[in-house]
Amino acid sequence: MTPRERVLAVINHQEPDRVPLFFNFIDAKLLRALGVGTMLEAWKRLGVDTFVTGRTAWCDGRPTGLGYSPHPPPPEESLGGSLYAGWNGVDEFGREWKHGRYVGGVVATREDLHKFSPELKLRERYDSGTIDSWKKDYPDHAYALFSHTGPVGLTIESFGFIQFCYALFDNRTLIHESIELKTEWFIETSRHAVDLGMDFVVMGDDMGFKGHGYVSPSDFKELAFPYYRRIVESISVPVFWHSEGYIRDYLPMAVEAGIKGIHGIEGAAGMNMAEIKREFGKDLVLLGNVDGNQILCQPDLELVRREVDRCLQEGSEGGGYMLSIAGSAHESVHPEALVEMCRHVQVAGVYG
Amino acid sequence: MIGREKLYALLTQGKVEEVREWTCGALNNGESAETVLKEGFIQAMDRIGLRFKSGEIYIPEVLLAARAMHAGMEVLKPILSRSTTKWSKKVAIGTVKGDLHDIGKNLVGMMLEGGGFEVIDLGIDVSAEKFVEAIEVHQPQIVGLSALLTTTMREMKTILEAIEKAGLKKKVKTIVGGAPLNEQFARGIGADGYAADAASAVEIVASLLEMNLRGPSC
Repeated sequence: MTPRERVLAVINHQEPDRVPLFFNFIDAKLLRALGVGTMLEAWKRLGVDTFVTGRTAWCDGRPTGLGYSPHPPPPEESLGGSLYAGWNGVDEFGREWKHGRYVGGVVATREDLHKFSPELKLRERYDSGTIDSWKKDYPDHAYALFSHTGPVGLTIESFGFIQFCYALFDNRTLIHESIELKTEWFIETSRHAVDLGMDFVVMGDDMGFKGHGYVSPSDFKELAFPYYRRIVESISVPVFWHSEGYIRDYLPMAVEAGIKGIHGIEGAAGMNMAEIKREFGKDLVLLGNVDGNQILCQPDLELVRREVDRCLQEGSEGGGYMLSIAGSAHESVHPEALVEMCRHVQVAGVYG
Repeated sequence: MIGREKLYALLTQGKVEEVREWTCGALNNGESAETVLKEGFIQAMDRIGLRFKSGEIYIPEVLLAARAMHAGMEVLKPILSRSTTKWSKKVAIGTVKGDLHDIGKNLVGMMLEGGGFEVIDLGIDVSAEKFVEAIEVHQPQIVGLSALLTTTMREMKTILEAIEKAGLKKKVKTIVGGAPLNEQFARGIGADGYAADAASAVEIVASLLEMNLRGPSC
């Protein structure tokens, strides 16, 4: 099978020749540690089946790169990896950054919300030339948009978490208005990515802490579910949902909204992939669950192989699973551990 | 006899002004500030914390109650600070050097205040030197370290070593928490406790201080 055929089989809940490998993000510093020059070279070397693109956003007039090609390159003193490296100030959504790290939100009023509701800028958000060249050189691969701009998570970040919680009780109308605006923005910008050839869209919308969802299931049903459903119905390719943290209680609503799969499945947060596979495996494609906080941050490769084997055992039966880190390949991931994870799935992930 | 159920209802509904009025009323009725704190606020927030741990309510509802509780504490604090008895234990909390995330730390701070602890918030990006200085100046019984990143959680070990080197290890207990941490990591770096979430932090602090938050009636 080609990588694309493999991924499409998994999306259709069929067993491919082997479990595909997926990354939402590889940190620029980790890329350098791997000794590869570009993200494309890293994907090729690691055997990734889906090539992922991001979309440019702006902070105080400075653009991020196209997903993995920081522009300008991340300064060494930056705490951030690549995508937001060097950001200081307030971005176009109203999120405040310091040295590449998110530190809070500034949206408190309707005026703020409209001030920080960005234009579509479709042509500027995507490097269509690069995407075209990838697709020309690697037509046998799958392509996906990964964007951490889901409507609820982005609303939470633009308000700041604690202020968002207060607004749930004090100004719920403003929250709905924010989610509404971000939903439409997400749909329009994602449609453009689909026009550029994406096979699926991964909506990054963090909704969980360790052991707890951000909000009650009833709040999720009101604040996320209808907007997720609209996103799914408005985009012509499958929509996956990425969230770190514990989101188990929301999954029935994700299924009902038409979400095709989930990325993350963070075991350390309480997400049990074996149980999720049993309960939702027929409805949701699962991507993730490899422990990126401990096991991939150390050099014992036997531990890495065992972790991959565990994930395969819990997730791969009957198809519908792509091996991936529960979060991203961040700067603390041990390069040899990452390479071994990718090498081992090529062998142990073979079906039949 | 203070109206515990009334206070509990006001807190869960986030009634800021009503909580302030309730507090003034309790004091005007002759209750001591210590009684209002311990039998009113601490027990009510403890019940709320238990409901959070059991998954019955979520962080927004806890924060709503904590905000209302602050209104009552604004009334109590000036009185408590004049009290000859030491009304609370101190907990100094901070996000470690290199880490700018404060949501988790702030939640822990709010829950601890709800548990009747005096919280000294050292902020974010706090160096080992600042933690040591804070222990010497404020003399807390507990120090809490927070980190969200795998890159910065290592700083916790540096801070604990600095506390030991300064000869303060026997004077203060240390707890750690944050998304990438676990119990094993906490033990490995020599922390006295690990808190998986904000509600757990209150229980861990209380157990390290051998306090019974729920009082003799529970």
